[in-house]
Amino acid sequence: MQSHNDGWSRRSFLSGATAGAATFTIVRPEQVRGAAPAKLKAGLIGVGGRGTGAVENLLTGNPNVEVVAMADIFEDHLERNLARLKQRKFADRITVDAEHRFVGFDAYQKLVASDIDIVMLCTPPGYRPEHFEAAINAGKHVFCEKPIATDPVGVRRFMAAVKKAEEKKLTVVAGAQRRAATEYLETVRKIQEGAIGDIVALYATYLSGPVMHAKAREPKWGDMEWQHRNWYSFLWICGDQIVEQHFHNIDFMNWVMGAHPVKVVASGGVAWRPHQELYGNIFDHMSSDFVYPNGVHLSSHCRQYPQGLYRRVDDLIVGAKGRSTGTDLGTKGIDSQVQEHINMVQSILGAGPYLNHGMAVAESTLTCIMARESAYSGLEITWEMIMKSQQDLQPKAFSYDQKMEMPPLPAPGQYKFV
Amino acid sequence: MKHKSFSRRSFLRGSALAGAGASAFTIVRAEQVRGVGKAKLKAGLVGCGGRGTQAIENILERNPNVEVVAMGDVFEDRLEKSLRRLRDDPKLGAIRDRVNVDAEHRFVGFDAYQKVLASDIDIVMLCTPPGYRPEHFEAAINARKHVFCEKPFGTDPVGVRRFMAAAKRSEELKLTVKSGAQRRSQTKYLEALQRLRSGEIGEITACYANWIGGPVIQQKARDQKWGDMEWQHRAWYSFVWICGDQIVEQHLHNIDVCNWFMGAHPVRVVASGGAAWRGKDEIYGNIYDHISADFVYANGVHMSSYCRQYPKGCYSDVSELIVGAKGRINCHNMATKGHNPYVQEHVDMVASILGTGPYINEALAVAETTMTCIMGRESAYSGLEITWEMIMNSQLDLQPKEFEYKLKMDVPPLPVPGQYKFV
Repeated sequence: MQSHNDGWSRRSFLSGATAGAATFTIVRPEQVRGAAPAKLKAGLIGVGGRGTGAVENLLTGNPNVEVVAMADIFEDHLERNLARLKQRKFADRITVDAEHRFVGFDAYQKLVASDIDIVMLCTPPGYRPEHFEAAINAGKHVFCEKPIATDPVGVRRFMAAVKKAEEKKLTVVAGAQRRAATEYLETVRKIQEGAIGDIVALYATYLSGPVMHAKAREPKWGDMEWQHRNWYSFLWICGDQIVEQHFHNIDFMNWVMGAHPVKVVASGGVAWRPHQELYGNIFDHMSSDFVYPNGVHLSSHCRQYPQGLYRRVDDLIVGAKGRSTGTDLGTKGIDSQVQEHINMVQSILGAGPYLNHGMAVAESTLTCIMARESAYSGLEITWEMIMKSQQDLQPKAFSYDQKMEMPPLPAPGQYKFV
Repeated sequence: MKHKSFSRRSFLRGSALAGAGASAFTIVRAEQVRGVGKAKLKAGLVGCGGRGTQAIENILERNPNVEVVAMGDVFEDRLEKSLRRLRDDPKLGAIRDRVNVDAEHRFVGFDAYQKVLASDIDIVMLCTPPGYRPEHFEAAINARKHVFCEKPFGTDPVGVRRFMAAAKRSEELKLTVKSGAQRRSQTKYLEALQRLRSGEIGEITACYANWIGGPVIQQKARDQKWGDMEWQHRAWYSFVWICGDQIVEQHLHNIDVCNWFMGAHPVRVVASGGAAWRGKDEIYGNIYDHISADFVYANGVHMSSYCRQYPKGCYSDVSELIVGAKGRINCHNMATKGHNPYVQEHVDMVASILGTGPYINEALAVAETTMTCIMGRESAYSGLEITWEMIMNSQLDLQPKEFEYKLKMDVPPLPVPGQYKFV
């Protein structure tokens, strides 16, 4: 890692670089300690598969960061995954002592109140707006997994906190790792410079398999615990596949277009998922016809179908003079999930451009929600409609014994768009 | 009109909007050209439901030399209802005297179509539910009749290939075949095609086809006296074997435009769909209520197809969009209105039969479109990517092996991807 004595010369070197680089700001002057690189402390909220992966990504690319706090609803998740991380080569930088292992529904509050610089938000997405708001209020930089919410009220709450983060110059990097991947960055730049002519049509495809975090419900689990252990199947906390997973392609398309769509008509349903509580109340396929402000359509298809059926995850950008897959005009760099954390730390230290992806990923999340609500309701949904929507799926009270009815699977014609 | 065939032929060769693919005119039924007098043509109708009855109105409206002399239907009540409407509707005064279906030419039953074809007609109008089309069309060509052939041209790959074989024969025999894909006779589509072919929007880069509409439910409930087969005829839309599902039965119109403008059929498709609102009641049968398909042509161009039948109040849109490198055409914002295409198509057909207009045979083209739609359906049902080669080799044959009003016919379950077997 370069020393900050090189700050001025690096800044001038870098000022000729990538699209959209803002002037560098030293955001935490106390971090710039002269010759020695700054040490940063991170805390993780949501100690599941992705959270554990994010810790690995963060520590791999940033030798001067350590993880000092963790929070999860479930003690077994925290303990199991912490133990796993302690087996890895960066275990010496995982120093989460007993007083900094927070368990329960208020665990995230305790974590953001502790002595950390960076908060990593890696829980299921229903919680994101609340966690993000708390982190920004506490003055923390944030690595924020996608999607950033599961309903429009949550997205707007997140957007309000993003504005605060901008005012406070807090770094916000989202788990939209394509935005850190050189093959995407270079391709997008070339497309925006005219390599394939005017864009005339877009295609985004996420045809994959079911995501099931639990095989069955254990009798000792109350409703709320069950809906957390098996969160993918429950709309309020997952957002459905188009929001949770297909986000990546749609975020990429918005990035390429420099805009979000203005309207969408979508259809979908449950073609194979049994009507059992294991499968919750999400759809298993959704196809959406988005339209951008200039009239260009994005044809989006996502689904989670059983093993053995056709799968493909890719994108296609059709221009007047050619076409691109989104990566074919660039070259691969290091693992983008490591790169995004390097970029984040550089932003925090003022050693790289100030990064705040918050609004972009909030708009992408809302784009996905817009389509989902169109498929559920059978209506055409416009950006204006979804920005005003009063839908708030989050429970009003949280406890392991909380009784939670599961709303029925949406049926177009019955389902009310709010 | 004096028989001036030579001068007319040379005049017409130079005419502009002769329609895509106009071949030199052939007098196809020489005995029809009766010199000074207008040729008279006799038509028979197979399938006397709403579409069939309207088709009679359509053919008679601007073809004064055509009369309808035979009708056939599986159900007597449908045939009688059709005749009553043609007789009693005050708006149909102008055509009434050319509906001359005497008692001996009203055929009822599963073999009615054979009797219609055996009677003295020049034109047969095939307007039954689509499951029967291949069998009816094959018989019509064997009987050397010109055909007005409602779409789609079948509901399964075996049927469509049977249709295609008869289509080839119909071309050899120079029989006129006009399909019920009326956009092919609709002025604004012909104009859009011309503009496309003139290069106005550059090469096609993307196609979009929508039939986002409402449910077609033909019966409120099953009458207890109806056996299974009668029930599945009275409520045919809900049963895949006889309807084909919406993508085949209805959305064909839009997909046909894309194939027509591309000059090709897609080579593969990945589709998804299901029943999002249709319940388990038997009136809903075993068809989906939405299918979205990503078709790809050989040159890599995609056709994004969206069809559904959702309850009242939901969004609706029936349209096509052709996006080129330099612009786009939606086939609607065209200057010229033109005649009602449902009537124009019969004008075009009769002109073809008489040799006063270009020879028209849409059999193979619309058969390919029908197969395109079936390909999309099977992809959605099975969860597989389906290629043209796969569907052209598919052994799926949905038709019953016998026909009888009281025949017991179980309804196969709603297809479930992962369980449904593509054959």
